[in-house]
Amino acid sequence: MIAFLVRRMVLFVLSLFVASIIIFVLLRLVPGDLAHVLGGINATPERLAILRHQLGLDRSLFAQYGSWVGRAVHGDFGKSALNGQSAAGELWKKLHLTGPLVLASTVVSIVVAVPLGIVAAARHRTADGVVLSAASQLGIALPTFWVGLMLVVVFAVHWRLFPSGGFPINGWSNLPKAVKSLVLPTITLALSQGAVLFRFVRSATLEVLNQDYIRTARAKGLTKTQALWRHGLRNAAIPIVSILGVQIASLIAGVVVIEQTFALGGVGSMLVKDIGDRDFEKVQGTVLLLAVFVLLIGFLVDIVHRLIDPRLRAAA
Amino acid sequence: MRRIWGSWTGRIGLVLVGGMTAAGVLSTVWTPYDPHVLLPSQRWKPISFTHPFGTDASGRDLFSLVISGAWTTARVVFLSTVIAAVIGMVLGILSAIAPRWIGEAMAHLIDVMIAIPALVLALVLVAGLGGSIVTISLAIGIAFGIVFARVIRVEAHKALTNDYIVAAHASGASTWRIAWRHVVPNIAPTIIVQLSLIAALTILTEAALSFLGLMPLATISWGRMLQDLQSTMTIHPLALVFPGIAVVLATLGFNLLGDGVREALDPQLKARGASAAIDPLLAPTAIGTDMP
Repeated sequence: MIAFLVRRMVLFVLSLFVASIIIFVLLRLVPGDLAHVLGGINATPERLAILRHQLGLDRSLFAQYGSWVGRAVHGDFGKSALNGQSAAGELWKKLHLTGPLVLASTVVSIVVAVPLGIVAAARHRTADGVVLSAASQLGIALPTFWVGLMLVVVFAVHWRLFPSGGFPINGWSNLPKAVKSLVLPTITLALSQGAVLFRFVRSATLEVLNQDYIRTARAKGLTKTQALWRHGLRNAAIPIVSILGVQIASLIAGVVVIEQTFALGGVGSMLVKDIGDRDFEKVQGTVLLLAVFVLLIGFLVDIVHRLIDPRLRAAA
Repeated sequence: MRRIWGSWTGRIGLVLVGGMTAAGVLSTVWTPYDPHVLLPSQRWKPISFTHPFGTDASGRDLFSLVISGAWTTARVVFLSTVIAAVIGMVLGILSAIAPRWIGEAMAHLIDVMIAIPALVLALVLVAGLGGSIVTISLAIGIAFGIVFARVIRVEAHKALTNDYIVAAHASGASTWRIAWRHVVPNIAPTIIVQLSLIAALTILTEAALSFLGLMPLATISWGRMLQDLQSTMTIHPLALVFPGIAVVLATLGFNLLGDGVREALDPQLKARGASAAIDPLLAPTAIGTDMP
């Protein structure tokens, strides 16, 4: 296990390094730099040159990359060139909204989709199993933001149960209002995640049900439920843990759209705005931090895999 | 084709995909009203025979807009899928047939790229190149192409262990020849099924990107329509239903088509009674055999 952890750690650092290069290069591909934004459309070439010098944009790409990564290693992920806010600080502030949203929708989707998926697999030849599968087929075809809009129409406009969007200005100190404003976004995100998760749980469980060891367990006299409970679920859990890890990465994209739908000022809205403003120093810091997060999840998923799958431990 | 038509999923999928394409092609030659002309006098007309879906705030016929949107979607789906197919197959097969250490380095690179949100790529590309069908397709195609490459690599690896490929190697066939003559045909079913699912995800992604306002104003698209209609949804909620359903049906069509193809190509799956196969596209790591 120690050797595995060390190897995985090295890989993690290496991946981060590669990710930082990709992010840096990606953002340099965009024509029109920050000097253009700060200088305005009437800026003279001299003014642009001065601005570029102040911003350090006239240095070689290697030098720019080097100083960025050098500072990032020391925990400084850069700051906005427009208003001086630090990328990490702003991300942390926005996470007060986005964090609970992502966490809540993940929990809701797991609580609903995992049991339903197992039931649908165990009963896949019966009517209710088929209905569940058809519903999930529809679920993965629904555009998240449209579901959000429809929920707003029904629950916010028609029944006035929840606000149609926005987050209280004083944030979590106004607890009931804050929770209420996140109910519809959470349901929306959970629905799209849940539909995908459901399909995986169902396939993974079906796959397991076809295995010889389940047949053996059944031959020993266990019922289908008992066999699945004692021998099946641990095996089915392996791919399910993987998909959860992957889903967290795709959640970031989902969050951008959901925040736009519900007019929430979280991480997603911030990214859209910063890219629009060409505030790339802040954007590259934010994206790098998000990449750290995603890679960290991958790391954790691998560890969980080892814990639930003894074959992987034996192979090492 | 006949076998795809033979299953219910395949049949519904073909009808939906065919319907969307037909509506899109039709909109290039005829729409009931010109979807680009604003007629303030005709604003918010209710649903009627002359306006099956009603009109919007600027008097445009929503039915004409929806079928014109189908053409945008069809073009984005085509472009993105082609780009994703090329990227995925080249990277995936190369990383499978390359010497071990290069292949593994490529696989890790692919993993890292997956960690960078595709949406950021789209936002950056549009910021740089301006929003258009081509830039949006490029962003979607690259993002899915990278994920697709993972799937292809795993499948190609599996194919390479077949006895006849080992035999072909032994009889002196070059690596390239083996890749082209044996690996590609071997993984073709997976490729077709996955591309169908990529098409479905492309529709959702395009709608989301257009909803975020990345599509230029002059291009009619379902996501863009929904963005326009969002501001008036408290008064005219019904108008939002039509473009939304168009997205759902088109996505559903490609998903079902993918399932239909899978069932047609893999009779074993049918024998097991349900589509038990784990969809590798949505969870590339779930089937990753190259765990570090």
